[in-house]
Amino acid sequence: MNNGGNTSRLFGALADRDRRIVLYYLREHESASVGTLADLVTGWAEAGPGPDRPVAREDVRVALHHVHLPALDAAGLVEYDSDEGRVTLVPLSAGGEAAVDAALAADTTEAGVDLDALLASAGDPGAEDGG
Amino acid sequence: MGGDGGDRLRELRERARGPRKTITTFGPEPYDDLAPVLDRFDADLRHESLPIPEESGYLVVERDGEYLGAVPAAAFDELRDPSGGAPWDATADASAYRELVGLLSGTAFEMDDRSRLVATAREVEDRAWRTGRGSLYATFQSLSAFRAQVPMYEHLAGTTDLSVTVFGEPDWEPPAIDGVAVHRDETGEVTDFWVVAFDGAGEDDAKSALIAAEERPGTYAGVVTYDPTVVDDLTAYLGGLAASTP
Repeated sequence: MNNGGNTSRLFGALADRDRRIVLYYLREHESASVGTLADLVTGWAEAGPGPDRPVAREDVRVALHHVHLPALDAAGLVEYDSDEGRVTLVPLSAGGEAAVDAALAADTTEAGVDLDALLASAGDPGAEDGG
Repeated sequence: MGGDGGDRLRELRERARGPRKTITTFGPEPYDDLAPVLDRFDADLRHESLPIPEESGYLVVERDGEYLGAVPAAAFDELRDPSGGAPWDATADASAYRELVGLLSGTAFEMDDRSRLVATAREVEDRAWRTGRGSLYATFQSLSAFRAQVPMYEHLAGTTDLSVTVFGEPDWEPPAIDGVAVHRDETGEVTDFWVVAFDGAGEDDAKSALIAAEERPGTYAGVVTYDPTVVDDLTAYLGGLAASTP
């Protein structure tokens, strides 16, 4: 893995809450079906941490499939087999673990997510290798 | 024993059962103290660990991969100890137990706790009260068992245009209540059953019923259903029964 460019990719991946929720889950379970992740994310939005917000599970599933899981895959955080509908976590770097830990703390308390702090905790501020 | 009526209700209870459902709890640890509640329903129970605060957990109900809804851990206390509160109680909107029962419609259950069965029946009475018209049927083992529910039904009928029919063995003479007809079930046709059925005032979306039978003394096996064809047949049967004798 090229750790230099990963910070900006990590930043992009963590910018979206549904993608963060997927990572929280996969760190416990390593791999999951898209269906399970759709239940996880829909339930989180409707009844889990944070403000109660009705969402359509089918919309969540489609967004995971077309947007979020490909984005996490492109960032090198998961491997997404879209044919099988199966997602597997790629082991995170130490900086990545710290960033996800910080995001988790922010997502499960009243505080919002401070992405700058996340970047700093990723231990590689400003690094950019263009690719 | 209930004779032909019992067979009919048993058959309807069987028809009311839908595909098996799965209840998944998400949280740091399994919510073991919810098991006594969730175990009463014939559903698959699963736990998926998630590193969030225990009080931020939630449960999701699904059927054949179809997401049906979620209940927050903040409401789990109400699942453990459901109130039998009447539909018009201010807290009724937030009744997590009623919400769970709604999500688990079509799922068979067995309950030996009368207050919990009352809370389950409230899901149907709640729909009737909110709709405010149509016909509601409720069976009691005996009319004396209806006694404790009289204030509830007085209010239910008195604040709506609902037409309510109550069935029970005539071991007690209920007071006259506007909008409530009492059917004295001399033959014990529905004695073994606890049925609450609302015809939805013709709207399929509002039709609902609880059909439970006392399988052993004090233990009821039943199901809550929103299947309009089952509810139609059930309300037609009870309506016919009420009309058959004074």
